[in-house]
Amino acid sequence: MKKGYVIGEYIIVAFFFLMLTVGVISQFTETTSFEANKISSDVACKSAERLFRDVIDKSPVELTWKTDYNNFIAGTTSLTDLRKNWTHFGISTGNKYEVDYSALEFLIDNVSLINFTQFLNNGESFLITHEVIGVDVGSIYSKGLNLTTTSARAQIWMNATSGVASDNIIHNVLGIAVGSNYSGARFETELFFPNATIIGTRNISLDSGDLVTISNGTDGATLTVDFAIGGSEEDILYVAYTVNDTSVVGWDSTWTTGGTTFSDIDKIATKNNLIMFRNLKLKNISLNKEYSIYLGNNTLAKGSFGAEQRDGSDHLCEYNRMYKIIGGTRQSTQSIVNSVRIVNVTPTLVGELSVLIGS
Amino acid sequence: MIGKRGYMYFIEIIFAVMIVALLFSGMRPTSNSNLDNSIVLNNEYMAFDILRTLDEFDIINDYEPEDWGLIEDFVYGFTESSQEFDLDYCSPSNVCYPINNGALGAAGANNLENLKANFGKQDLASAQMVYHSSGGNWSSIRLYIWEKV
Repeated sequence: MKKGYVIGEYIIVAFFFLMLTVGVISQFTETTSFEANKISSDVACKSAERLFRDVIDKSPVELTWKTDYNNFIAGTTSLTDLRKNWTHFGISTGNKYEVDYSALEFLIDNVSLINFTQFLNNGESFLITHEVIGVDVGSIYSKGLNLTTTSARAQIWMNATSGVASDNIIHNVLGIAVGSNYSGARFETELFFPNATIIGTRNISLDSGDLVTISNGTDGATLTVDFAIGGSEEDILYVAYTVNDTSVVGWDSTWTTGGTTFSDIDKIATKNNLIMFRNLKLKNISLNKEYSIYLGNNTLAKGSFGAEQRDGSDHLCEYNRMYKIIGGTRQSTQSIVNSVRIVNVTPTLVGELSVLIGS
Repeated sequence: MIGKRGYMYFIEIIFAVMIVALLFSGMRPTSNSNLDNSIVLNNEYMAFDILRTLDEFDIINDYEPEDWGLIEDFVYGFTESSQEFDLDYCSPSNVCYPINNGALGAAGANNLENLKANFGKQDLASAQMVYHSSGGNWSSIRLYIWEKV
């Protein structure tokens, strides 16, 4: 065989095997990387669910947990001693699918992320969040707050039932207010009133930059709100809605003091109560800062505890569930048309609780 | 001229192609149904949580007649704009009925069968809740949720 022919053959074979080797290595690397990402995601998902079970599904170990935690902060209790009493750091009320708002609030406002991470002792970066997606309107009966004295805040509450729709129709009045002592924040949300019709509105200080859209559909009423804070001001909207617009003269008296038609009125009033929120947001976009939204007197509609997680990461996993959030009971004087009564108000919210973990 | 040498080339090429095909097919990514179907899993939790919430807020009431229109409206309120849903009611004798526009449809013609027949949806999530009907017997409501295409 000619020498040139043999060399040519070697070159072709070497080139062929080089291509094969590169192809196999490339495919191997791609597959391994893909598998590694899946494993990371799987680990993150398991961790998210485990943390959710440990923190949100368990109730505090002891009644004095807040005191003990504060003692730990003050240095009178060591982490070792704290762990002797505490096997976990739970915020459940003890009932399934139910969170104690005061424990959730304490976790967000008082507990240090460093201490919490030390307590967990697993080195995971996490973010625990809650966002209210539904509320029992009767449980957020309150008075409007003065929102012009501080940075931006919003309040959604059940107002006194008067002056927005006909007094003879069994209805609720919801107040939505946003205020600040300086401009820049924007409040956006969509409220859905199932099976209901919006029968009246009244507003205070809304201007051309504040948008309100009402749609009464077959499934219920939708209210879209977009309020811009243009200085030291407070925008207020009152919305009256009902699930039955039949005229019932004196329903307020029967409902508050009793009577033969109490049951019929109570059924309508109760059906009025559960409403939903979508995309609840009060934010200053230029500062990239979100502000507090209160339901009723002082219950926060949104909150978070933990570290911000990277967006869009393959290693990110979120475990979220819809739970009932129960606040502390307080007494309030409720005004319904021409009647007044003392009621116990226990904030009862439907919230989306989530644990986000990036590995 | 093609003699024994050319024949050997042909064999080598066949073997090389076979080896490459084997290596590449052997390196397919694994399928983890839990992760790959995480949207379905989340929607299943959501379906269960919605039914549970309706029960807790007395929209679905034990021992009382069901208000299907009201139940549909509340489910609509809790689902997201990117989602669609259907509901079925199953009687104590396990005969199911579709719930559409606030009314029960024909016996046996439940929405699940319609969904399977018409869509073959792979991302269909569902949950079922059992409660006491107005007559005191055990009944159930099924909620199906899927993402809009």
